[in-house]
Amino acid sequence: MATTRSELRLVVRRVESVLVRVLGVVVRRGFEPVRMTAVEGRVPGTFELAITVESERPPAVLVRHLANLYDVDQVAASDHER
Amino acid sequence: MHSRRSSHGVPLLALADAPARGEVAVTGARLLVDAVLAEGVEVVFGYPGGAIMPVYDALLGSGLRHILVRHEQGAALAANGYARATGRVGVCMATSGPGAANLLTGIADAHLDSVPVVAITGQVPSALLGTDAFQELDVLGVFLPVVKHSFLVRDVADLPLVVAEAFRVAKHGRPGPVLVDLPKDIALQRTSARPLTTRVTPPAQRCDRAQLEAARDLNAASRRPVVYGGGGIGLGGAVDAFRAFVERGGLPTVLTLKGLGALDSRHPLLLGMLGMHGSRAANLAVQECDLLVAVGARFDDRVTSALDTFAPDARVLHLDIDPAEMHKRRHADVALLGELAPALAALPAPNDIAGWRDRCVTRREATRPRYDAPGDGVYAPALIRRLCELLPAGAVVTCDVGQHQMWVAQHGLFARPEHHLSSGGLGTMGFGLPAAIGAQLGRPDATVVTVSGDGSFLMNVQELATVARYGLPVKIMVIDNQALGMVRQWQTLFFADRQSEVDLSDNPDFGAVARAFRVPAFALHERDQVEPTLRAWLATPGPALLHVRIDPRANVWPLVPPNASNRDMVGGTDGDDA
Repeated sequence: MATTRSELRLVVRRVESVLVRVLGVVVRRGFEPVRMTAVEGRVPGTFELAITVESERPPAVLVRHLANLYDVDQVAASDHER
Repeated sequence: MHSRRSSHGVPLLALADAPARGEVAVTGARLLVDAVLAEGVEVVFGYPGGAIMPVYDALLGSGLRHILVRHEQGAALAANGYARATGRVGVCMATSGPGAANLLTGIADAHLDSVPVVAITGQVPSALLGTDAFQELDVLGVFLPVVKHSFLVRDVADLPLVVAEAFRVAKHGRPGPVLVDLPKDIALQRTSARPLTTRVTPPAQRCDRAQLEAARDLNAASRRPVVYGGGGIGLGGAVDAFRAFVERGGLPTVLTLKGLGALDSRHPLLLGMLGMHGSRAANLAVQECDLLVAVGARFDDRVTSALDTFAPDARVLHLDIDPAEMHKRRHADVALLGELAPALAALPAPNDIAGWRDRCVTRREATRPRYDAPGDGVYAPALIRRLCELLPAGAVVTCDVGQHQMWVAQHGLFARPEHHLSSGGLGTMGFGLPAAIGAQLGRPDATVVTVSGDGSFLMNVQELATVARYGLPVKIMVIDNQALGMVRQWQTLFFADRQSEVDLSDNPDFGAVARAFRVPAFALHERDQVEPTLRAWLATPGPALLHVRIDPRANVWPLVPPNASNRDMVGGTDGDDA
């Protein structure tokens, strides 16, 4: 299977360890993060994340895992949106 | 301030949780205990230590019952067993560093089997976090992969919401474990905050109407359907709806290890457990079906074996509450996301399947296991079967991991999922005894039996002290083949019989070990003694251990070899042994 590159966009709450929590799920589910930016969100108390990942796996399943996280308010990958 | 004295009459240092006269403030530790009580918790399992001492102080006189285990792994697994047996949230607690680390296996077990557990850990004071302080461990970081969520409490005023959220998250949707890490300074800090008195009940997740219509179409077109039920049925409180669905359509049904009991083991539509050690009737039905209705199941690798060969002709209708399970390992033609019970109630059953059903049931009858193995020794499958026949209604059987676990799954009789507690996802050796302790405390009127192996039993043998301390009438069966039997079986079959580090012939005298913990013990070595010994052991008041010696060459059949299709099972056509 070929490796594909996808971009994830998330809005997360700015709470303890949220970046580690998100990246942990990305890595454990078989995706390699190759670029990440985090900026303060337009909604106070949030971060907006953009994470570029590479994997042989489709990103749709990863999106659903990320959407399950307590601190994740929104997540989308390519044309897949929560 | 209240004056307190030790049992020797020596005045104790005035601790921060001793409220001044007229003062309404309490410590964070006391607030934590009150908040746990406000969640309806009656019992917690734990082991004290430095960083969590304020919480242990607050436990005194609180009304919250604490069960002192002898190793923190026992606490996590007992909370796990309590939750599985009762459907309520299990609670465990430990101190920082090694205490928290020792909880990890039991919490990981709860994570993989979706068991609602709240773990409370003491932590070094906030100012010492990140300084390599004594017994400091990045507990939040270590537990991240094995919890549904976790909280590090930074402000004592957050505690009421943190505890309420921890319990809500643990129970809501797909259940799972939640960690609350409490620094010691927060535990000692005074606050006027009180536990939350109102709870938000999240709305039930209902299936999408269009998907439901698509599921109806799928059902209507099927002529060879099989229902594949998993642990989500019991966890989701959907047993009655599941049974009604299966019976409405007369649907041949297979169950996973964790789904056992969703249909009574003697139900005429049940073909057995599927997967690596599943029954021939169950596996072949799945391989031949044209529609697989997966209910609260996750296409685990132990179920599917070689995934690309699994149910090759089937379209898949997948019902689950967790969106992350949809299409994870097998594409679902229709994914019904939401609570299982209303979805099952809304689903029409396929019709015109009498011929297919007869074929499945006839094969089950032709391939039923036999219990008349040659020889005078104890035959484990027959022993398990007889044990379950003798148990009263509502009995709970926990087990450990290995050959005995599979024999329990294959030959045990279970009327409900919560009657069979088995470590499915993580496969935790040492699960059985502490899980039985938790089950017994959660269901004090039930007969609770743990079936263990000689390898697994020694992994948490120290919990015999807990059984004895609280007089728990747990019945402990140790099936002893003087080997790590499942590993030995695989080495025999798939590693050219090169046996590496599986010999346990230097086992201790299990009866003497039990008696050292003030637990009476029985021994069973001959087949003709099975009936009287089982009866005497089960009739013993209080706890009792039964040491059973079996043939070390015994294997578990049938077996799907690694990377093979479930169609290519080895053994098990007539229940014969190696």
